[in-house]
Amino acid sequence: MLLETAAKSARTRPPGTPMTSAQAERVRQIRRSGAYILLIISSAVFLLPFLWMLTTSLKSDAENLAFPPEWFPTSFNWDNYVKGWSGSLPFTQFLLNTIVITALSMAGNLISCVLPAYAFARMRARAAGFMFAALMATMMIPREITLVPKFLMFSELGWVDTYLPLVVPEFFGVALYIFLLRQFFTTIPQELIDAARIDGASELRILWRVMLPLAKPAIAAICLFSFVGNWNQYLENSIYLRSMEKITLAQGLGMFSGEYVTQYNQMMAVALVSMLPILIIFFLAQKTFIRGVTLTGIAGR
Amino acid sequence: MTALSPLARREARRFHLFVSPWLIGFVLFSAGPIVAAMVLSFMDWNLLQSPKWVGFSNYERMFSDPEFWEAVGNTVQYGLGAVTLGVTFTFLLALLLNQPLRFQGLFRTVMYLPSVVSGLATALLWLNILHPDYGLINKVLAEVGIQGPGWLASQEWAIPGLVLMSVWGAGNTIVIYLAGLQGIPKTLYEAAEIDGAGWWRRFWSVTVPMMSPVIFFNVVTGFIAALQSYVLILVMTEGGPGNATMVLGLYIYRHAFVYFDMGYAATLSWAMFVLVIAVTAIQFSLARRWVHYEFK
Amino acid sequence: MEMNRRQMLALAVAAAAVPALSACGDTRQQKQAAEPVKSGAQVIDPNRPGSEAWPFEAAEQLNNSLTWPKTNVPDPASKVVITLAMTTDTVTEVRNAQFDYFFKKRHPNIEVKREAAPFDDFLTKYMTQAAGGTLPDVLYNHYSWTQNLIANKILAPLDDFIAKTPDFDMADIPQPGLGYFKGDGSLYGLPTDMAPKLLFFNKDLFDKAGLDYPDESWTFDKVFETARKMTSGSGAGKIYGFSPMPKPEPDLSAMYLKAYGGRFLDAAESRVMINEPPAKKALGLWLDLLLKDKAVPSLAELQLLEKVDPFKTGHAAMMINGAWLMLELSKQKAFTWGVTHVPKGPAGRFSSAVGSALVIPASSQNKEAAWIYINEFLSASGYKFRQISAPARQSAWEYNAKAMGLPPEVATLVKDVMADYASDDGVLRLPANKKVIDTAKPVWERAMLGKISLDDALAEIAAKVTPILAENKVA
Repeated sequence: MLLETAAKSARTRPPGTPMTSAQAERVRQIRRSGAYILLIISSAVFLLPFLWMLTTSLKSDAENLAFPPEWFPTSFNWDNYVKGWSGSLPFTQFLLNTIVITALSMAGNLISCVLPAYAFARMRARAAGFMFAALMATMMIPREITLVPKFLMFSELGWVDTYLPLVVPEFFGVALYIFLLRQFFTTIPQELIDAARIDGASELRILWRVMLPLAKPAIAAICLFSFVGNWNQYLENSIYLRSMEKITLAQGLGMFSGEYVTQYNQMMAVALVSMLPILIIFFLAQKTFIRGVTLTGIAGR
Repeated sequence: MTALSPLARREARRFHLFVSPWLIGFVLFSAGPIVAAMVLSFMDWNLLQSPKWVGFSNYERMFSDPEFWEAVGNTVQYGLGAVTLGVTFTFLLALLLNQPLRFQGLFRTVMYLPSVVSGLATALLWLNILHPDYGLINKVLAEVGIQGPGWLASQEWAIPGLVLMSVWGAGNTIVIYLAGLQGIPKTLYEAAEIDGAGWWRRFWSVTVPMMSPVIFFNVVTGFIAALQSYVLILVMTEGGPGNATMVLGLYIYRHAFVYFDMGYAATLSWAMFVLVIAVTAIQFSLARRWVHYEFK
Repeated sequence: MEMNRRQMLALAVAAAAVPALSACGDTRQQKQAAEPVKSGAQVIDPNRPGSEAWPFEAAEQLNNSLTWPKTNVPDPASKVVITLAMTTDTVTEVRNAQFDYFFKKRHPNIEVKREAAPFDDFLTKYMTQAAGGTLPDVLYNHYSWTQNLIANKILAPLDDFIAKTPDFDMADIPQPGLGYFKGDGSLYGLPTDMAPKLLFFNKDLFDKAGLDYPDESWTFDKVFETARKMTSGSGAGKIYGFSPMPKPEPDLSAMYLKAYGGRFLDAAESRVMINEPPAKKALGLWLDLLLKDKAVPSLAELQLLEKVDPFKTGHAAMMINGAWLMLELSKQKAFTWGVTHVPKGPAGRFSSAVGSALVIPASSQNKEAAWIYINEFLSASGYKFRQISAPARQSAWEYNAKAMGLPPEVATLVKDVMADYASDDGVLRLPANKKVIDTAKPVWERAMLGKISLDDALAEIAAKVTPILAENKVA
């Protein structure tokens, strides 16, 4: 159907006069430089927070208070990184804790979101509509109000001050990710599935061999969101985790602000360090967002 | 009730099997707290004493609470602004980031940066950017002879200021768009090109319809997130000046975790739920006109 | 395609391997920690807590030089574990860990487990734990929280423990600052710090203007007059005469209104008085200073500065703030500062005494051990060991001021203020206090923006706050 629209609309337009290859090359060059200029300008805007954090992390304690704020560091106190990380609280331990929680939650999300998403995207059942509505509804209830009832439930189970309340629910699907994957599964041409069915493939096999490879960018996106979300999780962690040796990086960062004074320089230094894993993961994963799929090869259409 | 064919029945069985990971989790971990939150809205509970049944009084209080209605107005304003601006701007950025150019990995990482930066850093940074006298934006405006507004210090410009900030932190939306752009078969573009379609034509006839389920996802979840958001607003303006940035999420947070008025907070939460559902339902019904699915 | 699958696989393997690896790390760490002291609670080296700021040797030396108070409450016969939740921050955590270390040496049967609880989410975290019935044995309390907990019968009274501890010198703690922690004839909390509000000034700016420094004789009129004179410049170079602008906050009455005979609420917090003539007069003078003379930072100017008040960056001549500010000021080199009594008004001189406290939840199973800990933590020796900037025990002021490099006369000043006129009167503390402030503030902000008149603003505050005050009467 889509091909038809594309073709139809294309046909109504008379083909332009052909260009010489030199002209075409020039047009391409101009277009490319334009794109670069736009990219560089927007990057500058998006890079601001990073620069701001970097500048702040290098300030001396006295400069912390400077006004008006300075955008470029006037001194380079690299020891803020050492002082912040190992001067008072065991941030290495917090890092390990964060890795454990994040890795388990991520694995749980991946395992539990694919099957429901496939079902919601590609299977018919009388309850499907109702269940999908319920799925969407869980996203729309503000989590602040289920937080306390949930806490009481896990408290009854004796799960407070353990990682269980943070990790176990992650193995039972996250509405946002299921919805995201479902949207991606719906874009995959029905012909591919029909062809696989005719070949006698089971649903699981179709999912594994047809759907998942094509939805790889979406899976990568889910990995990323799950990683970032769990890495930076604050409110839940702060309510469930009580022992010092169990808390996470995000919680540790909160301890740079006391009741009266905040040590912004050390806080930003540690915040930058704790951001690095996310940036590295993103840098690695972003290729998958881009280079994931070449439909032609598989579909042969 | 129509009888189901054996084939349909088998498909339904399989549906239930596949959905079960989520369904079991829903029953075990979500259903209870949701029911509890429902019941709480008819109670008075300060966390320290057992809840007291108060009937509909929380609802009566809400309907006659002028700050609640103010918060609804602010929330809708913020949601509309953040989603319209966010969804279009990030789509254009994603198209740009999808071009086959060098250093794209770096550019993409940079544009994702704001989504990773700690909330406090973001808040402090934007307080600086939006400051009426020394802020980056007003300084640039002054260069071209425009007197910039008071942004977060003025009741009229505070929400637009927050909208601006929200667009800047929309890295997740860009990622989803990028992922979606990969799913468009190259053959469609090739076919269109052979037929002589220019880039504008290809954009409207291939990119947009093929991306529509993804755009739809971003609009729906963007609205849900925007209508519920409050964390940065809490840090930056605390709802002020006046009540200009008192959004519903912040109002709920205050009643739940500052005043520990859980009953009223639950009531407000259900009001927000209705608001979000209404907005989402409108979108799903509009979606029939513009979202293209392969499977219906 | 191939490349991608391998990448994904690598990512999955890495994700799976990470918990395994860190689990190894975990056990190693636990083993190390578990061997000498069976604690595992302290992640800071449990055998030798210390840091650059708080070296272990110096702590040990100080600890040995101090005498620790006794109590007739007996030590537990067998091992008990007490859990402590006090605000955790990077500055004090190591010091507190050191205190715990030496405390455990003195009381081998009491194991101390300190919880991670930054100030920002402290109340949310522990109100939730209270709902779950799992409060720790010793709990930090901001002065504005305690009355709510008392009214809901969450706390245990401390009077019996105090009676059993003759060493616990109550006379050393300022009595006018204990009202926050009292209820139905009992005392439920003991202060961890207590400080009056003082008038701070920037000596450099006064020298430059050729004006005399503020002193005990100053009135609010003189402050206004001087503030007007000292306001100068614009943009980033602007100097304010005074900062910040008074706004609805728990001790608005004690800081700015009582000097004119006015109040925000009455003493029982059951009636709004901010729209009555004396309070209106005081607030009107401030509003003029803001809108007519621009001698205090406007809302727009404060927006950026709120995190760091202009006074702290040398951009304001005067400020009224708590005595704890001295520590921060003494660490900066940008300007020289002075401090004196708050100014007098037509009705006299008033200052608020505010501080936080430690309480023992009624649900605690280890109240006696918890008391033994509190007794030492809040003793004069405890205050000297912790070296905090605003000790509630007046006998610790000189020592702490010296340890922090503050001039000795500030200790005398604070002690005089605490003894003469600082008190908890007029500081909001009943359960609705936060709601009262949040309701009044937006209205006052509109007045600060010049959108509504003083009369209208105060009338609106009165109308909106009055119904809320019913919540202060907890059944």
